Amino acid sequence: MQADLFLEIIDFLKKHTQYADLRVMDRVQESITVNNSCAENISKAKDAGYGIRVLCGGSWGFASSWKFAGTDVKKAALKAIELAKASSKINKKAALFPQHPPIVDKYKTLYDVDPFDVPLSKKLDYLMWACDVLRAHPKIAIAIAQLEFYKTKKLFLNTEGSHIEQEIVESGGCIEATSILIDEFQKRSYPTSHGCQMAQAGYEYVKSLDFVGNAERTRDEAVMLLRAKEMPHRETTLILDGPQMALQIHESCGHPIELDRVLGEEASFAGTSFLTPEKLGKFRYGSKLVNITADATLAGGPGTFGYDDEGTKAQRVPIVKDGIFVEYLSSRETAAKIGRASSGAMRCGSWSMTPIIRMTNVSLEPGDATLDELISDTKDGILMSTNKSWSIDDKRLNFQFGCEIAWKIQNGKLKQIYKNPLYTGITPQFWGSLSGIADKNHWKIYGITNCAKGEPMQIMHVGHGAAPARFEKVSVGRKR
Amino acid sequence: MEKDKILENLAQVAKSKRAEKILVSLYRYHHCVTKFADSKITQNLEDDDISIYIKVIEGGHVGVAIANSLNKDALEAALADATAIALHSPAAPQKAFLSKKEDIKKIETYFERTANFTIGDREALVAQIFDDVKRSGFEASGTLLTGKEEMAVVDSQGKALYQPFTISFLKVIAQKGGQTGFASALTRDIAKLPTSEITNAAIRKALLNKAQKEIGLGKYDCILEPEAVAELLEWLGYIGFGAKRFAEHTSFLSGRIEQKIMGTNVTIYDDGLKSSGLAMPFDFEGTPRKKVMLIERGAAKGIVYDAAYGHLYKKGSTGHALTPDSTEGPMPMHLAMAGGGATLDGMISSLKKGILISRFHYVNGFLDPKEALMTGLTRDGTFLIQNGRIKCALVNLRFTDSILEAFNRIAMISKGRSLIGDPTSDSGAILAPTILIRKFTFTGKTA
Repeated sequence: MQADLFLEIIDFLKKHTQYADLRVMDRVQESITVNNSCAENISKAKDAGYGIRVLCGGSWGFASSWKFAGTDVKKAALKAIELAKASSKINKKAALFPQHPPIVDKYKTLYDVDPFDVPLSKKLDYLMWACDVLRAHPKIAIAIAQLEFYKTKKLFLNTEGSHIEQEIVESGGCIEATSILIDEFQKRSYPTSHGCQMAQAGYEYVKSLDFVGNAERTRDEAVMLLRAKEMPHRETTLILDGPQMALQIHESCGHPIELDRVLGEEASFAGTSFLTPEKLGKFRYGSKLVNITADATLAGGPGTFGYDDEGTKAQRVPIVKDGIFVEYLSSRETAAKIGRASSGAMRCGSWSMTPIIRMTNVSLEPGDATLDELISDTKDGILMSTNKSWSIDDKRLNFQFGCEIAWKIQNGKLKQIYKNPLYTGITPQFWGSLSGIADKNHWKIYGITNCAKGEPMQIMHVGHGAAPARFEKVSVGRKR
Repeated sequence: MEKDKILENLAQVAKSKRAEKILVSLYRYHHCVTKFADSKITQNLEDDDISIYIKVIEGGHVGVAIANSLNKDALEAALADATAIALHSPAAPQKAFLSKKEDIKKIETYFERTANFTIGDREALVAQIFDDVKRSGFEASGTLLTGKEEMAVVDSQGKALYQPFTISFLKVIAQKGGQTGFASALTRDIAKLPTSEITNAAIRKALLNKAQKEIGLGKYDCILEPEAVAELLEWLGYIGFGAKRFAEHTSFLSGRIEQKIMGTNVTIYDDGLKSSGLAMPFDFEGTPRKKVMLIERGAAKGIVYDAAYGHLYKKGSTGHALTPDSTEGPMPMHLAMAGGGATLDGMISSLKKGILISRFHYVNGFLDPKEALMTGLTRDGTFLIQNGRIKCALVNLRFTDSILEAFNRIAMISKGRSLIGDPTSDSGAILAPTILIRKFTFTGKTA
């Protein structure tokens, strides 16, 4: 990266703005998808550019470019200033932006094997083997195995004197089996659905996922679902497995605690939040068992970093403590608006995007039961696994989530399976009904890699630590 | 715009003879976005990006690499990556096709006045919106986007296509507490962006959307305005109208071509050439976009193809290829539902009891794609209709219903249609009417 060129621009911006920062990013991505043992997509992408954000006259401007000539960088800086000045003519109130001391540091993901050093043939062998196991039943019509790797180098400079270099390496993958009858299809995925399970780690991570060892169960459950009954509608005890808990946390806790949403800045697109500032420190979000933490320092988490994209050090922050809502995901500006300090959640999905508040790794802390104990303590209930569909309202209250598979629980034992299971609820009532969480042996970090927010839309990789958990009196099944 | 430079650099890659067949496609955009909330500009940005996709085919093996620079070294490196991938990949005979060269229809997609819309012009427009919304007692949130885009496709079989575009998009939410109203418009020509109309429509909705009341769950006759209809059509397109889903038997159209699957008053098609939509003359393989009838008077009629699936079905591409790294297969990007003869006022006055829905939020169509079973919530204006008039605003409601079945119960379709879309998403733009559906199923409500 041409640090000298950008240091010159920062000097220029120091003279012409109240504050400015810039991010130079260079990312390599490798994607491999095998479908029914044929290559569906094998591609490599290189993406480099920079974004300059400035504060002038109390308003923000941002410009980005993929052109690295000195004149182009200067042009982008001047454009950002022009945009900020235009906004300041309209905005009645200046943005509050507390000063931070300068930080000079480097951060790097720790990993054993650089995934970009592993030959394509070795990666394909791994996927083909898993695909062959998935396909070993005539009812499986679609068998998919997928790997994805990212290496992102970031340089952050600001007019406060910060100079931060980061290198983030991500590895991930998934398998998926789709069984088909004439007018129906059913799907099972591992380790999670809707794409790759990612971690900040090297190639060793995708090997540890053991696709081949999990392919048989994935395949057989997909086939069994074709003969399963539709889940009836009723109110019952519900146990969610880890992957579905990750989605539940993401939608009903991760998004509503984003302080830009709370302050109305996402009103025209993603919506707002029911967790308004007067609720901070007082509102009962869930039962006493609910402890939720946003942790950008979590080893391996897809939402982990050394510093966020406005130079705030990564933090571990309690969000819900013993059921009470106590903190937001915030930025320097939004936190100042409610008299707090940034919790370090400003992230941008690409160099071409301005940073916005995003989840880091928002996790439900483990409990003290085993999954077997949660099940055996349930006289009558349902166990659901792996997300299939998701929908929640613009304040993040009314949700309905579908899963790939469910098991009936009767007298503490798993019984028949159901297809097309879904459950619905209102966020604080649902979390208020939480009656048990599995222990740390069941707790894993799950990645959600398709989290969309912002205009222009930004896709972000975020993490959720979760163990299976039990909820009481939940409405399950489709109301007709 | 850099037509000559783009075509020259892409041609150097496509004609390099480094592989049996080479396809190079480019998409570049320069978007100017002013985002506002609570009558304050929160983001004012210019976003300039470029993606160049190189697809290499060698003996039935395919490799794809993506660069984000027109620099010759970067393109050379990407070509080397794609070639190496093809060399080490298993055969992908189903993907090893380039579409044939065809004549491309000339379409006006670039408007100087949109391209030349300045920061000052955006500032003046947004200031006017703030004034108008505040005068009505509300605050304004929303987004104004103007921009330029370029698309080019060059291949080793002689294609060399280039098309410049402009885009303008405005959405406004007028709000005061829980009282909100929304309106949006999308056009390539900023002179046709009805800014005052959009602002006033958002204000009108917000004025109506007060003191929301609860209503019992169940089935209601229901009027869906174009924003709501477009979201359902977008999902139908995603889960059902593409050849990949069709071939994999996960589409609601699989095995049902020529069968009646919706009401006889429903016609849905994809047409990327009409200037009433966001016209695009060709796809990412350089195939001209063709109008495809998907549902005609309720009967399943067709699906959209790219070169690979067109070859599989011996139909030829309909010009619906996405970028070469996509695993989604061909997709409709210019869906339209044919208009009827009704008006919104006529629909309202026809109802003894019903619900008017302005737009949906977070619809999901993965519940059971073969039945197009979907769920979603209403947002920014849900109203109870009684005795032919809007009686009061309602809290947001959740629907869960099969859209195939619901589209069998459409009683009225408006003549007028609106173009709905978000130019920063990948889902294209949809021309949607207002429709009246009988007995639409509501399964939840926001507390």
